[in-house]
Amino acid sequence: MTYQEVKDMIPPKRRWCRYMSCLYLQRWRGAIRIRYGYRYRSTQTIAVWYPNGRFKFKSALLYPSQRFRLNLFMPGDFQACTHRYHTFLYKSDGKDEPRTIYIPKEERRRFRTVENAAWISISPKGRVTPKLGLTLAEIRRRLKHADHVRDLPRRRGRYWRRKARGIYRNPCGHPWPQKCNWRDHWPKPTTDWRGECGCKVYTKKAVSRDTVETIMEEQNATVRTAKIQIYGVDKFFVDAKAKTTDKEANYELIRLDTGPGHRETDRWGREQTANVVLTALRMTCSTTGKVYVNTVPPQIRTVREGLNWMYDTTNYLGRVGKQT
Amino acid sequence: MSNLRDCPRQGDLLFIPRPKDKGEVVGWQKQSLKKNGIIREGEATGHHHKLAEPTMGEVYRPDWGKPIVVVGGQGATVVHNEHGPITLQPDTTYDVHVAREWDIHSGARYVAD
Repeated sequence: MTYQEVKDMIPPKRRWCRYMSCLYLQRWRGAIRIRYGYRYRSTQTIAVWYPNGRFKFKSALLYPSQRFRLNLFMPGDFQACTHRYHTFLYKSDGKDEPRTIYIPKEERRRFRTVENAAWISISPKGRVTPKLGLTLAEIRRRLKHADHVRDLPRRRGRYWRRKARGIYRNPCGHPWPQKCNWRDHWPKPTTDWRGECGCKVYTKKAVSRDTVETIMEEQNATVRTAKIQIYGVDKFFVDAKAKTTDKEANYELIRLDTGPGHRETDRWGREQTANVVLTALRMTCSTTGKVYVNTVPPQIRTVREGLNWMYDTTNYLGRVGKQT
Repeated sequence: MSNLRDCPRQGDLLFIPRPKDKGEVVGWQKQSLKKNGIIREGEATGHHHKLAEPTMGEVYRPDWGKPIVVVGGQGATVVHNEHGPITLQPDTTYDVHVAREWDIHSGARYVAD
């Protein structure tokens, strides 16, 4: 088994538990160690594959409050699985009964950083032999690069989110509107994004160059919704031909399914993906004939509910009198 | 629940009268008295919802909670550049409910006029 083959077995990030923010491979003296870390503070070896072909599970992360399933398939079809407070290793080959190995709670390691762990495991005196493993700099570089790549969709979402809000730049030079370079603190975020330091964020209205088709093809849910905002929610409802689900008086409730939303993993490790459904009230002014569209929460199903939510009342249609 | 159609609406503002026995404005709310009679300022367009004459009533805009309009004995008229005027009943205290909209990312927020 090669390094790459072991690497391919590591499940994608979305299958990891929330405590396991960094799962990486380490080569040392011909052995491949699979380690995980939590924000570079604590590291632990999960499994080791030795050059003579022997494969050994070391342990898995265990905390009493943590109930997650770690699907990590290894040579011999081993599967590490935590149930309640304990972790078991299953070997499920077709004929035999699954073998279960109990792993006790792991004590904390003395390594506090990845660098320390890698340094100790590579060479106690700091000497690095290129044939046997990666250098410390290389490990650090790879980890940094992996973090960067993993963070790209979130960064892209943040960029588009800010663009949809019209945030242009910060006069103190920092790209984030919440942060200030002039004074070394985080200003209190307010509704208009003016912090206590007095920085005023310049805004510029974004111009949409997208069509309904290109917006609907977008895979990133955050980017998709931000593009809809830039496009204009009212206009998007009309152009995308939203369905009318309820009608009452001069009001219509319209709904539009824009596709899968954020992927979330529940505590059992299962993915839960709900579609992003835009819901809005379309109102036609009886005197001027002008049409207004007001977005409402997606759980609202009727016009009455929508109006009551919109004006924070209990009986809008029964009580409203003159409307202008 | 009253079925009287006694709640006028002007654009994104809905005026709901308080019951007579619960019409008093609390002391800390009285600190937010607006003498210019502006009920809600237009953030986007600059158009205000305001009393036609500030002497017609008292407008309170507390930091927490909804704006309050206490109408005097002569009644009051609320005007706006884009919408038609509405009339408020005399000797009545109104809670002003501002329309909300749902933002995809950040949830509920008040409509910017």
